[in-house]
Amino acid sequence: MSQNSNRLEELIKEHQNALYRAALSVTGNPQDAEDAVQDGYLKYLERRPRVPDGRSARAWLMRVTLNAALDRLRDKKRHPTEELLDVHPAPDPGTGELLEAIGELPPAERAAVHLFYYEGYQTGEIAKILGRRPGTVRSDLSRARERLREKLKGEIEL
Amino acid sequence: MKRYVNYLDGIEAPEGLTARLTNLKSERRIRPAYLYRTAGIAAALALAVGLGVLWRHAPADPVADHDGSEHYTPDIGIIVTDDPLLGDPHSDRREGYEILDGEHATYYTLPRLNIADASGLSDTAMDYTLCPLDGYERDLVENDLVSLFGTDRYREHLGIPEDAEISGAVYFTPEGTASGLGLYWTEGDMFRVRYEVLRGYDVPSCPVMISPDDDYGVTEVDGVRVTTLAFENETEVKLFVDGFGYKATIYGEGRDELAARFVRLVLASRAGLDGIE
Repeated sequence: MSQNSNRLEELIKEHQNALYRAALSVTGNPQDAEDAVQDGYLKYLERRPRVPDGRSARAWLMRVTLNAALDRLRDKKRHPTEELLDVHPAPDPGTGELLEAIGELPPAERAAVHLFYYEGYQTGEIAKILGRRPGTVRSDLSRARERLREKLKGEIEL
Repeated sequence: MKRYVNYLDGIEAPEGLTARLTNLKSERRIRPAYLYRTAGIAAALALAVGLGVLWRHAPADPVADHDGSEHYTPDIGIIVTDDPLLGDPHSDRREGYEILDGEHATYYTLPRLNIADASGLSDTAMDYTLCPLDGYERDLVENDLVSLFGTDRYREHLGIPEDAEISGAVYFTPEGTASGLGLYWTEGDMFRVRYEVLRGYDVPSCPVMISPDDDYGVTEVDGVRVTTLAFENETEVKLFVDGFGYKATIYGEGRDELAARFVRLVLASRAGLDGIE
């Protein structure tokens, strides 16, 4: 097996779940999420980026995967037909309400929320991943939090 | 957000995805449909420009200012000349920006903006926000936009769909003079524009302060210096007119066209905050 194949398999093993969850969070559709993850790894194979460590590789893959996910939404111009909660049901009503509220955010805000709350990236890192400025990301996060609070009426802790 | 984290922690990538990824061959990449569509639009636009395919237009009615005077007449249609900056309004040669899904639209004269690519920049870019002011603010209402742009057809000229939700705020000095305005709208989930207008531009950290050190694209339109910068997913355009600073940050597809629309409308209407109370 070649060195490149080994490297690809390592990257798949290390990051595919994180990338799939991020893409799923943005698209809300398992099939679109899978396709976006595949697009991300394809770009890795095509471009062979210099990513010195695991965190850098993850950020690079996250960037191209989320761009692919956002492109898929842009292509459809509407929410996916297959709902996330149909395939992965929420364990309780509160989680379901939270996911529905997040799903109603604009995609770019969903991406920022996911990277901040789930992946734990700082706004500067999120800006690099999403190709935006830190101020824009902070604005997106602030607006998203405000919308979620309004939607959930304080019933669920953010 | 603990519920969100716990929920996603319980989701694994499907087994089939691992097999798909392991078998990836970069040389056999299949282009997604949207790339074909985008390429098709670009090719059609290039062909239209190359052949000099032009749209006829009908001049718009004069627009009355909020005080009742006619102050500008938008010319619906785009003028194309060899001048890279601005078309000749008397020329018969016209082109139009093509919008998505094969729809064409004709607009009034739009400048071709020189837009600098800043996609390589990251957190070194400046971070702008509306200036902190010792005054007060209120929500934006439609009359503010009519006053600002001098027409109730601002949606048409800015490319804002009728069903798009517009929001924003107007900022006032303690004396009650409108000093700034932020305008924000969305189209579906994907398209967003944020406009900021500020009276004067000598305020520290002004949102439309242009640093001479920044490598902006510069275009002179009607004698006004317009600076633009394109990040990977957003385009920023800034200009100063008659003591007001204007900044538009535009996200999504068609950004360059909307930037040009914004510049043209600001210059045509000499938009200002004086009519906003």
